[in-house]
Amino acid sequence: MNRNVQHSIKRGFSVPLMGLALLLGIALGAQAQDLKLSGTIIPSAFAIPSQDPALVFAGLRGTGALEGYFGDAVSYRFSAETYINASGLAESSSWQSSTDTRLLSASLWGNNRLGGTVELKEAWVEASLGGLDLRIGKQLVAWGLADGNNPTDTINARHQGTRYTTTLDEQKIASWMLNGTYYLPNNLGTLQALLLPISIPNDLPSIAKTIKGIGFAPTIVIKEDAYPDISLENMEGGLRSLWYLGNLSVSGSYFTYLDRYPDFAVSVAGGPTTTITYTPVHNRIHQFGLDAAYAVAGYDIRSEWAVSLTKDMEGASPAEKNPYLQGVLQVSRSFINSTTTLSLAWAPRYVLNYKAPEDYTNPSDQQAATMLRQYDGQAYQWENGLSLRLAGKYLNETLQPELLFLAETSAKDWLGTASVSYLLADGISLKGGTVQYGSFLPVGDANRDLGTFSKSIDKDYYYIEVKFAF
Amino acid sequence: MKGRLLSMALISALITVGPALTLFGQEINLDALLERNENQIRPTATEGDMKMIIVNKAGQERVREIKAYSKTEADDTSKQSLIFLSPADVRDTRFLTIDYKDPSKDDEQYIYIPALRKVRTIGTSGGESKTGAFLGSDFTFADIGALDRKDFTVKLIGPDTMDGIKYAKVEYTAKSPQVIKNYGYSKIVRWINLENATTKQSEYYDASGKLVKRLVIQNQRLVDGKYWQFDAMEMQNLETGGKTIWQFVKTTILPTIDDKYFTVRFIERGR
Repeated sequence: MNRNVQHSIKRGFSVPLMGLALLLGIALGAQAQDLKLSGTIIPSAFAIPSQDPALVFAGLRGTGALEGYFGDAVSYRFSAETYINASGLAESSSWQSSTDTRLLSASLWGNNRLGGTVELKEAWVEASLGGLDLRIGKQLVAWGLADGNNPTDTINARHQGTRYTTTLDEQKIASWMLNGTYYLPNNLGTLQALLLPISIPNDLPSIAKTIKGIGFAPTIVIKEDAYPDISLENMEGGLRSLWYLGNLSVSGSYFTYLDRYPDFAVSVAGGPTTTITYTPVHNRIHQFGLDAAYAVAGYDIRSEWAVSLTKDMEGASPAEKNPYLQGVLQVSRSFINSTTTLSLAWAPRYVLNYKAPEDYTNPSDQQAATMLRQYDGQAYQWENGLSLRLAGKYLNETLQPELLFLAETSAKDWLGTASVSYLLADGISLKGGTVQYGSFLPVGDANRDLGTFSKSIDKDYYYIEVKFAF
Repeated sequence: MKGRLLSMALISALITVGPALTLFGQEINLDALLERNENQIRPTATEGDMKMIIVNKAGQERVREIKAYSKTEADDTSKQSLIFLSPADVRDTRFLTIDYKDPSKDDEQYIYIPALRKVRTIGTSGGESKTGAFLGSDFTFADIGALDRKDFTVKLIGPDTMDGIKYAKVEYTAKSPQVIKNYGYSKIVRWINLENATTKQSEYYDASGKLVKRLVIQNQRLVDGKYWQFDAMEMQNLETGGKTIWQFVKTTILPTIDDKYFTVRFIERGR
């Protein structure tokens, strides 16, 4: 969520704050047992050579957590996350602060760059009732049996392209929810139900802008994204059943939520010059998921699929996403005494009732489709991601290199990552790596703006970090 | 716990029919010896504190502290939970293994990985496959579990003496390439005490037949007059020059233990 949105939220009614007060009251009202403190401090630096200055992050990331339990039936966890980027702040001429009462975070901005933020990452209390665990509060939930690429794991929103991080937990934004998990007897699996009263969309780089009309061309205004209202009709919820069946694990899920990525509401104002305004909106999605993991003949096979039903089921509006199928099929095999693992994956996306911009009859719809397909992930009806990953765990897992290459067949672009981590001592590790973006399309080809990776081609970066865990 | 780990890591498969052989001038019935080896009396329940000390070739040590719970059911099904307490980079990793006596039931192994916030079944999880290293140690997940008797051909290959104690050397040869894939070994040789039928030492051979690891049990003793336990087991990695010492700091034998410690719920929630 961008800074302006956070300002708007500051003025809003804070259900989360009331929830936090309730949770703290429960925690303080009982005698804590086995109190445990833990956390990480990660001094790190990120550099994008194509930018000036190249050093885009120099600072600290970290977490601190406090957890414990009361008796046998109640446990709790509170954790805070911090992100401090000192790079470029010395040159900052304007400083602003903001608070977000939905995330419970406070941030400092210098020249519109995020200089630092502190956020209450998790705050939950859990009660056990027979085979049922009931967890209430701000929390992270991980769905999906695939490795890394999980189409069904949409419960928590993410920081997407707004922070320099290296772990999935740092990307994920915790959500306020009621989470009930029932454990089936004999370790057969779990039944889980989630209720999220507050929808939190992804934290994305702002695309807000105004393109002044010239001559007969209309003025185009794209507004800032904003949190959906807190209301009954914007609540989210899901169900998941996970089964452990020997070498086969399988789960099925349903999740209804407000799209983490925005659609757009389009309004046209006439007058001497026409103005078309695109306002980001988060429409409801019904997601049906199915995933499985299976080991056979030394191969590890994982697959995860999600069908997402959107508001625009017929594909009538260029400003709203169409229903789509997204999946992944991964096959892994370990070699050299199981120290080296090679994984191949196919990750298709298929858009139902797809329309290319030229398929719209109305010129303004064509124009909108042309513009918005850069952002909605539906530029092509079929997109096939093909990836190869090579990962190692050597010297008693102190040395862990990893290489990944991923190419998309329709966008004709690619992503390459390389990293090495080395455990310097217990609780202290050093990690360095790079993320590279590329395109198989020639320079100047307009379709380069449509690919997930090709549009980031000038953002290749390198990083190094030391992680202290305590 | 000591007895449990001993049995899980070391107890061998039974031979179907074993001829009587002569070792040290005494007639040995291999069948009977292996049966005694496998059916050592184990406590019904234990709670223990352990240390896993990983030592590299240069002698540098990494120490992992572990809380352990074990249970032996009436039908001899054994269950074990391991909770890693420190250091911070492995803290809250939790491991559950259930070994069924009934050969028709597949054993179960689960691991909770805090970084992923997920439980995974071992054998369906790439890097954590059964032949993969157990949390960076020189033990594999397969070493922690039990061998299935039907997977090996077992034969007595001769006598040996260590510290004045007489042992039978017993060789377990994998019956098929699939067994080698599952366990990571083509052959295992064990030194079984002729007097009390416990295992003192094991040697592991890779798929090419090369000796790659040696497990040595340290300071074995009889507890409560009926349970054979030990202070540590040391897995020497003959390829890397490193070793892992699994040290049993404190073991408490309990009259009974709650089943909750041996559930996916426990390893996922930690309580």
